[in-house]
Amino acid sequence: MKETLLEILEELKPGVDYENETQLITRQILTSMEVVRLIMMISDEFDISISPLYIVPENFESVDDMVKLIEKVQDE
Amino acid sequence: MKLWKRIILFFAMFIVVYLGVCVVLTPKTKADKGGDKFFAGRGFEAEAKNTIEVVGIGNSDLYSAFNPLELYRLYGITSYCCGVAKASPMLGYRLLQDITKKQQIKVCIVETDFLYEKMGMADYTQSLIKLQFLASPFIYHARWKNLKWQDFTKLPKLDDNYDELKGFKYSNKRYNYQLKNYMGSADSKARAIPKRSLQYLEKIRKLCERKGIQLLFVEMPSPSSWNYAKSYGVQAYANEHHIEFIDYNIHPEYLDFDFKTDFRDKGNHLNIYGSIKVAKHLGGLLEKHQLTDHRKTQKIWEKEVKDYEELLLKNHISIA
Amino acid sequence: MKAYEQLLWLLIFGSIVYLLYMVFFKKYRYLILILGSLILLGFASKWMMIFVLLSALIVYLFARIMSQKNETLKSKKAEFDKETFKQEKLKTKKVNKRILIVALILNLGLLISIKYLNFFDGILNSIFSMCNWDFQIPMFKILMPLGISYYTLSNTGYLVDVYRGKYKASKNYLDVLLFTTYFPCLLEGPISHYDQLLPQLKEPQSFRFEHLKKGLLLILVGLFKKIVIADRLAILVTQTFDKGVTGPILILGVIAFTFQLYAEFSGIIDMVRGISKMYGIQLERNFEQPFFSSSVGEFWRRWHISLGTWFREYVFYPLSMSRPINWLCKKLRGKVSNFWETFLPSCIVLFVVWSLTGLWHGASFKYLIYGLYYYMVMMIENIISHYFAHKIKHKTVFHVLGIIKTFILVNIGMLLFRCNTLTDAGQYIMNIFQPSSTKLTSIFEAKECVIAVLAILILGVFEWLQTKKFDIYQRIVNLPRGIEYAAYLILIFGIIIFGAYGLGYIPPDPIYGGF
Repeated sequence: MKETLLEILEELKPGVDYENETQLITRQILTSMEVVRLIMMISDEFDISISPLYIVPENFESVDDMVKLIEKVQDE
Repeated sequence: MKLWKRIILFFAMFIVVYLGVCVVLTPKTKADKGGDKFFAGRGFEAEAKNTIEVVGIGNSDLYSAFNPLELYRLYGITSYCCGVAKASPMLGYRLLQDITKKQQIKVCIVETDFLYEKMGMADYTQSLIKLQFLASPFIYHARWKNLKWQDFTKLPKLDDNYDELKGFKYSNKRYNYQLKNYMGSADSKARAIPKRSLQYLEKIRKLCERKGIQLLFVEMPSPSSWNYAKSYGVQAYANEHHIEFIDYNIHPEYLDFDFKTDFRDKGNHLNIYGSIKVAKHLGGLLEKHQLTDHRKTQKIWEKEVKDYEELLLKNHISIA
Repeated sequence: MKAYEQLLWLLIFGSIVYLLYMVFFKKYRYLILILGSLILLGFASKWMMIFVLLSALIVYLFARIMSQKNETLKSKKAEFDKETFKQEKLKTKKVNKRILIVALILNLGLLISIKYLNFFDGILNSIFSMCNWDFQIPMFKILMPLGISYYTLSNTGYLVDVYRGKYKASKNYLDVLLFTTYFPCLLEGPISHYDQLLPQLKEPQSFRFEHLKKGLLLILVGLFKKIVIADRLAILVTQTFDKGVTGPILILGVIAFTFQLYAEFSGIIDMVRGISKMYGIQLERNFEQPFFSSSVGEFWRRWHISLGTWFREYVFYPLSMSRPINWLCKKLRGKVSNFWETFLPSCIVLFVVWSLTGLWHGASFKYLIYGLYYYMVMMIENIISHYFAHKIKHKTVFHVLGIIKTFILVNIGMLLFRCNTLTDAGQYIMNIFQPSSTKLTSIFEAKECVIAVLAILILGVFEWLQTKKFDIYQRIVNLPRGIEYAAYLILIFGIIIFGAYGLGYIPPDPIYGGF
């Protein structure tokens, strides 16, 4: 799953070290617009629907956070 | 350091600085910004003891119309004008209290215009001079722009402000007031004096009773703020307590008053010409109170009268 | 004088509430807060008080209904299999959506009709006159309930959160009432989140000296900003904006207004946070040194933060995930570059967001344009930074230039904000190029100028230190006692002596307060 996510992020916004970055939102590396697109891409790729409840900074600061989010949504 | 010790230290520092600021910011002379507010009506503090026999209390209507030097010049009566702009009866009472401490007052003239003005919080601070001093960082803080060296070296003293004109405000401006019926209908119902004002009027009356001071109610010509209803209201009180009340709005002929030449503004305040006429008539009223003619006994206020006469001559005002 | 009498009474009232709160039974302390707020509202106007009580009631009831349905659904999860459960989930969601919409219509509808009735009337009336119809809807004179724009948004957030299942609705009407009426936020916000604020409000806070001290200090800082800076600048601002002055001095007028608005708004927020701190309550920050932003986009992430966050959470994200936008995204796939695939849908959503943000500030066409002005600027910024990103590396020079550029653009926005109509704004700009009608010192005394500039510089240094994460408060507390207290005294007397109040100064009305 992590690899797919990294691919998506590269496609969305290349040139960022997604493997190691842990403050994607706090440091405004990903803007709100990009987060929206990212969510759509993730929703399409993993066939899930992410509730607006989960659109909080904590879930998108790093790839690991996003993995956790996807797993959580898939469980429901 | 324990908490309560810290709090005490802080408050001690605060009080020291606060008092220092009070001293610096309180106006030192009448000329300072806000000076006429602080020293309002208190010029008598600089007068020699037991020299004044008549005092007037009231608002700006009083200090524009009541001319102690003219009164002295014509009748030798020593008087003081304690008028303060927008004064409240509370302030009038306090000023009367304070002036009677060092003066043997025989007559107190109350200009009744201020009885019908609403009183607010500002009046409480105005009337208590100590409160004004303690509140000066808030009231006079704008003086930071005009501080002089003496503000840091002198203490504010009330008796520092000698007023040659004895509280009178001189103006030779003439406003051609178009006389119309401002008094309303002579059949108006009497308008009772407001409770707060009445409360202090009673205090004034009782103080005068205790000290053997004669009261005299006067209402100077005041088209901007007077009418029959108010006049009747005051008359009712005056009748009840056997106080003489002269309303110059009802009898302007006593003064030979000329509405076209004797106001300095739109029918609100008299000018020097009006005040001279008032002095002439008032002096006549005061004669029955057997006041000392100081021109004959002690020759005081000689310099002041001379300067006053020169001022009149300079402005081509005819002296009787 | 009347304003100062009111201020004195407010101070006395606030102190009594604080004292009462600290000595009252722990379990029921929050009741004091509710009572205090209701009394304040009641004094302002009986109707405002009743209005708030009703508003909170509606929110409470609808939230409970939705929450009940969510709970019923959850309890049935074990009973049903996955398919049936999914069906039930959709059903519940559908019903709750309808309930939410009704609640929102009632809640927001009230705000909209009170605030924007005359706005819509005006539009309809212009349409009528364009069509040559004689019919004109009369304009209404309605008194705006205090703080309605703030607590309505907070409550809307609560309703939506409950709908989404973020947390359960409160079973106690008093909770919702407490959240709605919390008095420090009534005047100018910040807009709060229910799950962050209510627990703090409900929790009986004990008296802690440290809280009281920090709170009072914050209040003093806020007072300094408001009375020494904002009210002083108001002198110059009213002269340039309301008295028809001309010449380059008008540029100074706009800059003065920008600082006046910031000093006043952030000052009042400081006071609100300070009062809350006295009770041990932590409110959300509303400003993060906005003038150090290097882009207008960044500026709006650092100015009136609670408003931006609210719009992002409850307008931007929901709209961005909505079906029409989804459809657009799918249509764009592969047809445009990566950047435009992300940017275009957001562009459309942001148009709505900024129109609403503009209108939230005021019920007139000018405010709509105000919002859209910033929208346009930010969209252009986005496009430029995308195409020239490789050229602009993170060099200090570009950062500083960015700050200056942002400052200029924000000032233009402020000009729009302050002028009564767009025509006035246009006239103002034209007047800048007219010959000077007056000298600066004739309308703004030299000594006042000096104090204003000094105070702004002090504030600037203060904020710059904050951007460097320099904890000023901690540094001062670590000083020897005597010097620490001297610092406090300087602040206190700085406010008393250099405040622009009383004799010789005009007390202006709070700007962000009429919302």
